[in-house]
Amino acid sequence: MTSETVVELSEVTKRFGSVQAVAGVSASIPAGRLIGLVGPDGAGKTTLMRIMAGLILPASGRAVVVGHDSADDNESLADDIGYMPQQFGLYEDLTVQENLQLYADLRGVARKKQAETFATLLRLTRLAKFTGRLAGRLSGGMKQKLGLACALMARPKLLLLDEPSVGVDPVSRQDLWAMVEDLLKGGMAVVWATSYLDEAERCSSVFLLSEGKVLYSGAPKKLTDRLEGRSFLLRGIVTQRRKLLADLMEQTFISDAVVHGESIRVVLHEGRSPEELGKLATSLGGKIEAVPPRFEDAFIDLLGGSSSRRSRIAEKMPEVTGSETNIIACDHLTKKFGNFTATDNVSFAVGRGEIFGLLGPNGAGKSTTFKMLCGLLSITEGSATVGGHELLNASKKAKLSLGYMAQKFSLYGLLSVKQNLDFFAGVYGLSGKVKKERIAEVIDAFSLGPFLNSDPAKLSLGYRQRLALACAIMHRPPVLFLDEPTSGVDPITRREFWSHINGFVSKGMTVMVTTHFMEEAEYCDRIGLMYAAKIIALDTPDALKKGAQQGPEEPTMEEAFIHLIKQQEEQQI
Amino acid sequence: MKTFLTPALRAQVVKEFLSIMRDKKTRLIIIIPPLVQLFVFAYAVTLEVNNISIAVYNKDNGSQAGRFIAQLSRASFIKEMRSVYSESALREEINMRHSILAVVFPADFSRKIDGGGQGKLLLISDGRRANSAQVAAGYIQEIAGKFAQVLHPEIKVPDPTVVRHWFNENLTYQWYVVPGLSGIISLLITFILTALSIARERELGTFDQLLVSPCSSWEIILAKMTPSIVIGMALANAIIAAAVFIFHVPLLGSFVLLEIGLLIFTIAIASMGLVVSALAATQQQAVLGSFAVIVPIILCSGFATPIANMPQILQYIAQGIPLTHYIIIAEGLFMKAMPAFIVWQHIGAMAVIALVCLLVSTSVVRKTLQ
Repeated sequence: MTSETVVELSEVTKRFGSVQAVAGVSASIPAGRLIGLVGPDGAGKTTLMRIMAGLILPASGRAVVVGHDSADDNESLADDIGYMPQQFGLYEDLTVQENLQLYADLRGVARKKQAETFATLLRLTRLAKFTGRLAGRLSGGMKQKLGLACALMARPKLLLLDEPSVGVDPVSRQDLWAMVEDLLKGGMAVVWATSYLDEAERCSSVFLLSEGKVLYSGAPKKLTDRLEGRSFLLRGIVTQRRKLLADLMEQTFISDAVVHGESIRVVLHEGRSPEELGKLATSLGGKIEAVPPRFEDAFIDLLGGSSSRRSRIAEKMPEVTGSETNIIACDHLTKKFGNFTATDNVSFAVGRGEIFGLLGPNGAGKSTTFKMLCGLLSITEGSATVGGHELLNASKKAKLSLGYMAQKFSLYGLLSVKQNLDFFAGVYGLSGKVKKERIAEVIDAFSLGPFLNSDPAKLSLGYRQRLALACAIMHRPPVLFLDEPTSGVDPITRREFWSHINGFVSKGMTVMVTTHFMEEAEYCDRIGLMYAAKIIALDTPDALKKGAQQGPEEPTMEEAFIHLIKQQEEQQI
Repeated sequence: MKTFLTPALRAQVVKEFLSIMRDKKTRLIIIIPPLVQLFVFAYAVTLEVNNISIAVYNKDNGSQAGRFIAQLSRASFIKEMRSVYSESALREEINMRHSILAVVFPADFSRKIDGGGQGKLLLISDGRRANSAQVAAGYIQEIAGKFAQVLHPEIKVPDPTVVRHWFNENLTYQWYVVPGLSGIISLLITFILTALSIARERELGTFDQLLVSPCSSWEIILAKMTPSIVIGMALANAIIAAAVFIFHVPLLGSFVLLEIGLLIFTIAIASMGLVVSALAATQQQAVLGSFAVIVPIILCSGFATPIANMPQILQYIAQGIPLTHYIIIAEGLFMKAMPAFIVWQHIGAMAVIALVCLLVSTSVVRKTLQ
């Protein structure tokens, strides 16, 4: 049974205009296995997925899916697969039950069998309590689970999931994994496209795509093993780690380096001895410690190492100076929507030059808190200040101290790249020579030159993110607010983004960030973990991980997160 | 002035213009429908009765009936005369809408006239199309009157009323419609463009970005209204130019007054659009909301039907609609050189409406900001 081949791709290609999306991919996927499809943005993951779903016909080559050739037998192919695209087409104005009903009817599930199917799916997704709720009112994680339930309606032999966990918090993500593991036992083959590499690590085998080609296929463990002896933690350098990171990236023997809590995680280039790194560490008063490699290390290494360097834009920024210590402060902050308390008595303070992360599952109240801080929501009780001002009715001058970059990169899609830059420079009061200089500066630093007349929507995700960041910092704000800045972004782009943030922080900028992405939490100086409208833990990433440690091994950030939430839930019961 | 137009405000106004003008589809939406409307209203929608078919049921077959039919056939408003030969065929003719009107000659029509008496015609009109049928019946009565006059010149039929249409002597329909059309078109475009503006940003998620920036809500409102007012005025002026140069409607009053009226009018409309936009969560809601407001505005404005014929309550409401005042001004200035003080009264009324709408929209927008 398990030896049965569900998907057979042979030399599949597809081109969109001048872009070679898929360039000769051959692959074979057996039943009952979980296959990861990983790669940076624009690597061709979605295109390959749509070819397997029979939604796109390959320009050349053959795709045989569940025994149907996608070109000759397209219609019957659709009956045997379940496909969940990045934005699954849930009807937001229908309830959970009505959505299930609709997809059951569309998929031709017999009326008699429907009640039984729904019961199974609702149990699997743990959505039974919410059948009467409108799909539009569900949290991100619940929406994904409902989407998955709808995709499973026809009991497919192959399930294709395109980045199912983007914007889903760790708790819901666990549910998704549990569902998928259940399905695998039933003999279904599941293809899971993702840019989160910890997910790829859990697959039984992965295809690593880059520029439409398969760079690696096989068990993730085998790829990770290649890096044995090349991953290190550089410890004892807490205060200078951000400045140091930029220096490290310029060393020729280093393939990749990222901030990891209070340490820096370093990956050496192949064949380089750790001695050089050891010497460097000693000269800085720190020490190195060998750590087991992660899939992410291998991924970056396979793609030629991290390309991010010192942030040129940060270097041009002036040092932020001033006497106040608590740049961002919440004091007994509470927000109520009718009877519902979204933020409950939250207090914390963020000092100059600190990166503060607000973490929590969907609906925990982190967005509400964030919005009150930047003046987008009125405050029910308590206070929220930035630079000593409540921003809701603040003066222009107070608002000028804030740079803001939102989840969905709030760029004007109807304006070109250059017009967006002009607009944001103008709105933040820049004019004349200064405006020209600052715009030229970001165009140069973020290499936006070739795209000035393009529409932002046509840029790759990485460039869109650069542009959004450029727009947010042109007026050189002392405080930067980032709302889920790297949701769904691949590790390479994320590294580049954080190299800029690190640079800014070294200059004394204060950064407030919300995220569900656990790796991102490692970049923060301190983390406030929100759950059910309250802050349940507030500490440095390392201290949080230590606090959740149960065995000999240090838990990952995600494990610490889940541990803390479970602890809180038990206390409540 | 320089302090007023801050870089932030200028950047926003430029952004609003670009969001409208940079997209080819939006550009077409601004230009094509007003042109279509101009020609539809000016040519297709007409209150005159022309090109109609009438049925003729001649039970008489005498010479007088023949002469009358010959006269009818020369009437320019009739396109076709369809003869029927039975009651049932007549019924069918009207039923199936082949003819809007039937002329029935009684069997004794010629006999009575030849005998020196009065012949009577029976006119059957299609009540479903009462307006056109009545107008056509009027035309036929006129022909009948002349016919009688020729037969019996000695009978002094009371002189048929002489109607003289002042200001538009030939009752050229376009003279009546086109000036008002400048109001309708600027209403549509100004309203919809402003209604979409905030809703679009909210839908795309850029509105939060704008709110955290140091722009005041006044700046946001001003920036959102400016492009729609400018575009609305430009379109209205295009119609005014068409009225003068294509349809040759005499512009007897002051052009400057007309422009002032137009400016105040578009400001009032833009503030109404802004209220809709501030309340709508998506662009779709904004468009639906716009039509829910625009249609009653046009119907109550006196553009299509006289306000004096409306129930009292609607007449009061009509006074609160900016379009009512603008149409009075436009028609007044075009055809009859309306005295300036009356124009100013209407401009004043619109200014009051604009101010109220502006206050409401500012408070609604401010509320949604929080």
